[in-house]
Amino acid sequence: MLKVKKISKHFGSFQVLDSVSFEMNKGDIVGLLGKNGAGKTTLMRILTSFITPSSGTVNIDGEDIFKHSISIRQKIGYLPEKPPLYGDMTVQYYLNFAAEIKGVPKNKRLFQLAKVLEECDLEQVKQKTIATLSKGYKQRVGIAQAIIHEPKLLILDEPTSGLDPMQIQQVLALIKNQRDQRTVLLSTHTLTEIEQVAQRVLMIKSGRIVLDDSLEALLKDEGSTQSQPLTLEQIFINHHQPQTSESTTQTPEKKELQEVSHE
Amino acid sequence: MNKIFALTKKELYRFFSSPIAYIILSVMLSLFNIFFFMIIDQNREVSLRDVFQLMEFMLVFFIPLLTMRLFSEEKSNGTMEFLLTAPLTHTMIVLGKYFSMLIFFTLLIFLTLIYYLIVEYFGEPDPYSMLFGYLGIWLEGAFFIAVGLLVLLGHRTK
Repeated sequence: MLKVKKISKHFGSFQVLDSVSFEMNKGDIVGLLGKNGAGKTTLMRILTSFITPSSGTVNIDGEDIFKHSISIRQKIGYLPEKPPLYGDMTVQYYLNFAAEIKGVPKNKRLFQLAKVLEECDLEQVKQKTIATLSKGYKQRVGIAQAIIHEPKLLILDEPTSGLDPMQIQQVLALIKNQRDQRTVLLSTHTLTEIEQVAQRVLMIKSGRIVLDDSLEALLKDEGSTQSQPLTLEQIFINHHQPQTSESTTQTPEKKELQEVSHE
Repeated sequence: MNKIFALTKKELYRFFSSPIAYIILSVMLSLFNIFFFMIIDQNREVSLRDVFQLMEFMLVFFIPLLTMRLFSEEKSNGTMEFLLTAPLTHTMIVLGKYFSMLIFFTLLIFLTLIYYLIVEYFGEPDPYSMLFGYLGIWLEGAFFIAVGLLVLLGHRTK
């Protein structure tokens, strides 16, 4: 469904992504993990054709997203880190506007609107102005705009950031419900969330994919060398721990030898 | 075309949901009205030629008030990302904003048609000079809005 091939991105001399490649199949829910500044948002912005890569290709259903940008965007639903909302609009007006610009036919618009209002549990606030809603509701409105045109691929950039535990559970349940209908790529810092919803994990470090495996296999394989199975959090920390420098791993004999040679 | 219409509608909805639209309308109309009565009172002519000249001059300051917020708000709200990742071309986004401001400007000009009715009441003005005067003002406004957008887009890419 989604094929990312050797995507690299430079901002001036700073390399954000370095030859990133992966594939996603229909119905996959993939968690994208990485520290702040690892390149997650840049990767997501490239997948939504908001920015172009310095090199590499992205194909969705066999079509290059940069050559057929407009028709491909019809297949993508995207929720950026900060939900893109117009605070002065009512929820209903905003979602109707989202449906219009995303090309939902007029005869289907009301149906789609009712569907996402129900799916995202926004029925009781549909007449409210977005600025007056709580953060959790705003996030759900953001997800509703991302799915209103029935996209095949849903890209969610930290959809649970800043939410309280109840709101997080509601948003995660909403994402889980998408499994049967679309392919989902979501980034988050909270690893337990990935464990709850994702089937596969992509870990990105300094712009490179350092881990790409199913969650089940990952927890099993990485834990096989340990006495107890590892959690995703431990796996994440293991991959992000600073590498021990040569000097600290040197044996006392080697160190001594080096000191002698310096003398 | 439907998408451009949706964008235009959205801009107008947001513009009229805030006090800015009403403030701009009332300030501009108040200024136009004051100058209209001053000019008519001084010239004693059944013509709006001098009024049009003054309106032309005032548009230079008025149009940037309309256009300057068009992209900066989208950027600060994070909604620019929403528009640019939706199945819209850049042309659609720009035209949607352009038409919304043109409609607002047309409303402003429409409200000044009362000057024609007042002059018509007191004398026999040449309807063609009035018509082309209004057309000229409208075209000038349309041009200034386009230039305002062009300047903003040029600034964005820097």
